[in-house]
Amino acid sequence: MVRSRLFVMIFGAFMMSVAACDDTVDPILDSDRQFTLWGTLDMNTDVQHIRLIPIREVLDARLGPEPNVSVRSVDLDTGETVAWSDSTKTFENGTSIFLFSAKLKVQPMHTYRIEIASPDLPLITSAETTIPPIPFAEVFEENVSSRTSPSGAIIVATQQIAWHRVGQNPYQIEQWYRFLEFGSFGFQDLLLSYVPPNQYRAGLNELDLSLDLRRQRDSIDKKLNLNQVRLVGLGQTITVLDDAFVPPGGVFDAELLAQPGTMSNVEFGFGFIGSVGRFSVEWVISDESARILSYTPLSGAEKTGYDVSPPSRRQARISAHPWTNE
Amino acid sequence: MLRGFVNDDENAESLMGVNVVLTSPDGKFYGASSDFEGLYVIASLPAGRYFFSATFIGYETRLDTLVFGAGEIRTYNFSLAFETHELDEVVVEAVRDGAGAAAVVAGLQTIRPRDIDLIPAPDVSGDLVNYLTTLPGVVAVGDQGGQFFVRGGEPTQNLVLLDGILIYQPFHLIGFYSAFPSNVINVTDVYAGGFGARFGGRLSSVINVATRNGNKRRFEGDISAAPFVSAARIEGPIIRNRISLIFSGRMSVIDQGVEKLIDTPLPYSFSDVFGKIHANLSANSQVSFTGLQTYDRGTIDPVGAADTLSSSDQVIWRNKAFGTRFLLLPTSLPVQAEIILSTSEIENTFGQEIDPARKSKASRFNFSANMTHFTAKSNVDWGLFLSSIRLESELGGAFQSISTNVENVTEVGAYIETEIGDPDKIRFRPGIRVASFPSNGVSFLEPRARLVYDVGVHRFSAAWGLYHQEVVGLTDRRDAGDVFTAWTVSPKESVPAAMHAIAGYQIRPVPALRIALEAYYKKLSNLSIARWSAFPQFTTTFQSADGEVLGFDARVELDTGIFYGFVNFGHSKVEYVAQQSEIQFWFGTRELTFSPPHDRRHQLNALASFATYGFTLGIRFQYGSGLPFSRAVGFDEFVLTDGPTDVFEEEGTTRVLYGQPYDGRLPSYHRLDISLDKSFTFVGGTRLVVQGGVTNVYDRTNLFYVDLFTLRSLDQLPLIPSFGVKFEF
Repeated sequence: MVRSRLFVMIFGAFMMSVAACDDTVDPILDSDRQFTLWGTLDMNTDVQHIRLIPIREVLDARLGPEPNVSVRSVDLDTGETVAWSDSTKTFENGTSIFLFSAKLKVQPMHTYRIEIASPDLPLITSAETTIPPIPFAEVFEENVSSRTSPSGAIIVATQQIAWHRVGQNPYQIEQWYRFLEFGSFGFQDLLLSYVPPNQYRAGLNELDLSLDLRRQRDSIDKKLNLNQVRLVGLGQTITVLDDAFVPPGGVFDAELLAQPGTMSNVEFGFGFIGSVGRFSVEWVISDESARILSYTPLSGAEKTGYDVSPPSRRQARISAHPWTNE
Repeated sequence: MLRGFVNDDENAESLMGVNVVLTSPDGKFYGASSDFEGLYVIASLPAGRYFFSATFIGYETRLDTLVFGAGEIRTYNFSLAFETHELDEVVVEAVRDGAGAAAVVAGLQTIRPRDIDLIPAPDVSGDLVNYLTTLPGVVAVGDQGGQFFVRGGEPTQNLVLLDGILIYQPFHLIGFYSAFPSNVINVTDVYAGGFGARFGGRLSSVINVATRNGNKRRFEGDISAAPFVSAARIEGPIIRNRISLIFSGRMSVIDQGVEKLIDTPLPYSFSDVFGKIHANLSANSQVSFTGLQTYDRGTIDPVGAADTLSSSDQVIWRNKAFGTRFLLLPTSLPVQAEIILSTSEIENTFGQEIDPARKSKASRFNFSANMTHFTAKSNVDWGLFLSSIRLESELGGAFQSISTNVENVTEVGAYIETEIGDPDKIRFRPGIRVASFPSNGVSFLEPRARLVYDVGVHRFSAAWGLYHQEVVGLTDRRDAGDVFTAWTVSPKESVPAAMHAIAGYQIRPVPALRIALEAYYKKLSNLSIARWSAFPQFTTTFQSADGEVLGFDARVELDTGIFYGFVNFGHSKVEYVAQQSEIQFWFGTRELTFSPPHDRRHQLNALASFATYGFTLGIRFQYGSGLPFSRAVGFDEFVLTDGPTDVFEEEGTTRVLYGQPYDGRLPSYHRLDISLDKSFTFVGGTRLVVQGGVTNVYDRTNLFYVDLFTLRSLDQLPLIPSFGVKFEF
């Protein structure tokens, strides 16, 4: 009897103790990061935009909180402060995103700090980006020659371009030709997908490009009737990113970069704010070179025969400038 | 040579563990014990006259006198009749001989239906899965999901066989049920590791279920009703004493039963149908046809799913398996031959029922021939196997594009193993298995060994082996509620492999008490685990990982007849080392060591069963320390910023802002279940069994998992009162 009572007591005490256990678990890590920022400041526009995402505790983006924040940018070189205004865009699937914009012409080599402040939060989320410097380009005189062989004319046509003060290998290099149609005053720009082989020298911040004008001519010949246009000039545009655009491993891989904190320059937050500039240079080639390459020069002068161009000599230095798509 | 089949005189079912002894006039003994098919073999017998005895506690002893000529091979089949005046307690002890909670031998545990029926469950009928969850080292992550991890292995690394037929996913969504109700099981061998050369193709464990053949004397059956399922079984002779049929079917009644009892949504339904025809073709040969079909459907997290866009997403899987098994004892050869032809299929979908986002299907045709040569000093087992496997998957869903994959694999191989030593003292069983996948250009050589050493009441055992798994099941373990599995072929250069080492000790100081200790180590390499990703999408992109499992079990079992109980304690540590190339960029180290979500460090299972005055009271307590899970800061959208970014047009991809993988631990799990059974016997031998019980007696709020995609916590089942009845005829 005593043993039975003892068993009941022990069992009862055990039941009460285990039932009293109310373990809870918090799947949310304590964090002082409240926002994610995405965007690039663009030297080529007067209005800048960034996207702000309040970090939420639910998967569905539609169920996230609306930001109660003020956003401003500070030019750390001049101290100039600009307040950004908010807007919302809603996609077809019902998801809304929060955008902040400011009329701001960013200056090369200036460092801008984007700050997100909320009356509900003690910390300011921020990101800094330094606008790339304006590079300058040297365009060397083209080297165009032709000689006859039993199988026909052999044309060698190259041109060297050196870009200086380029912080890293450009994001994009575009080569374009400008033509004027006969009997018209309209220019026609032809963008070549052909990317010239380049050699970026990181230590010198230099980019050396070697253009194969004959191969480019072959490519243009497939797209344009060269008998109906005159060659006005050539041009090149490079898109340069700021120095912080350096993904781990050198590859912009979404799976890699999506891991929070990877390639992020946002303090007390996630994401990345970068800056970008596009720079163009235009030049002309000699009428002689144009004719050898079967173009009609803008002068329209007809010339027969194929003279060998003189040895290349350095042209006057041409500075690149920010170039805006109209 | 003397051999034969022993069966129960009442129903002609095979009897396992019958001691058959021949005594020569000069007092020499020759003996053997029957296996799960009732087969006994005494290999080497000099010519002469022998006194024959077959004993099995609880049954009448069979005595005879046999005369053998030189080199004679004789088949001697017989039945043993139940000894009605035997004490109940002795019967209980006898039936559990060789089985039982502490009767573990180098990772091998034999489970009898009676052991299963002792485990309290919300059902009047037992189910194998309820016993499996009492085993130390077996981790079930929850009451729902049907996922079992054995000594650190993944669920898809378990080889589950039903009469030699592979069953891909035999565990139902509700954790109290599998495809194996206890009343169709003859015996189940569970190798938690260190399994022999006969088994292969899986890294972790073997659950080898042998079913009953059915009553060849008369028809019998039962029907039952309980809060989770209704079930029926019927068996009987098609041709008396020659051909029998057993059929079992179960169907869930959750919506009419338990859901109303606990007022909690449990949107699950499942069913299983088992059938078997067994025929004694002659004294030396048998054939059986076994079929199984299962169906599961449900939503693991119905509330969480309702929070998201796809509230009607559900997981569905279907098993279909059919096989025939031919057993032959050639008249003039000291050989047992077994030939199995089988097909197995699993179909798994996730998403909307009509057009699921993810589909996976694995089908397999299997041929195997298993031979045992009986010689004077040892048995030699060898076999050949051939499989043709087809794997199909179509993976789509939120946040990802659809990818389809079809693979065909052929496997051929052979094995040989032998047992050397003295059956009463030391038995060493070395073996080797060769498996080749010609279509993939890979072959494996897998040595295995098992050792058992008996000294008085002490038993020492050990096992060691190498294992490979060419066909792997991929489940995204980031989400414990996602039980969808895609089967695929391992990359040729990194086929998952394992090395097992087990050492055990067992002591039985008195017949009623058995204590066992066992330590184990598994070294895992080339595991194919889902790549770590911040995107909340199912992935079949592999990353390679190595792993280590180190643990030990302690078991104490007491059986006095009126009282039966055991306490099992398990400690283990599972660590994976991931080698995903991005890890060095994310975490600053080349490898990431983490505890996978099934790394349960401590487990305790205790059972107490009292049988008196016609009542059987069962009390079960289980405790498990918390499982790892990944915590997160929250969610946002990821925009790939690889150049100028147009934030107006980039919608972004939703991602989880994870911390370190699996750096959190869920709270510990514990639960107490109680059941009380009472049976009433009526005239004509019919019986009514009534059961009442309570699952999770103190209504512990056990956490099932934290949904990483919704960061919601999902609880396991609350207190469930249950009442069941079973009518046996």
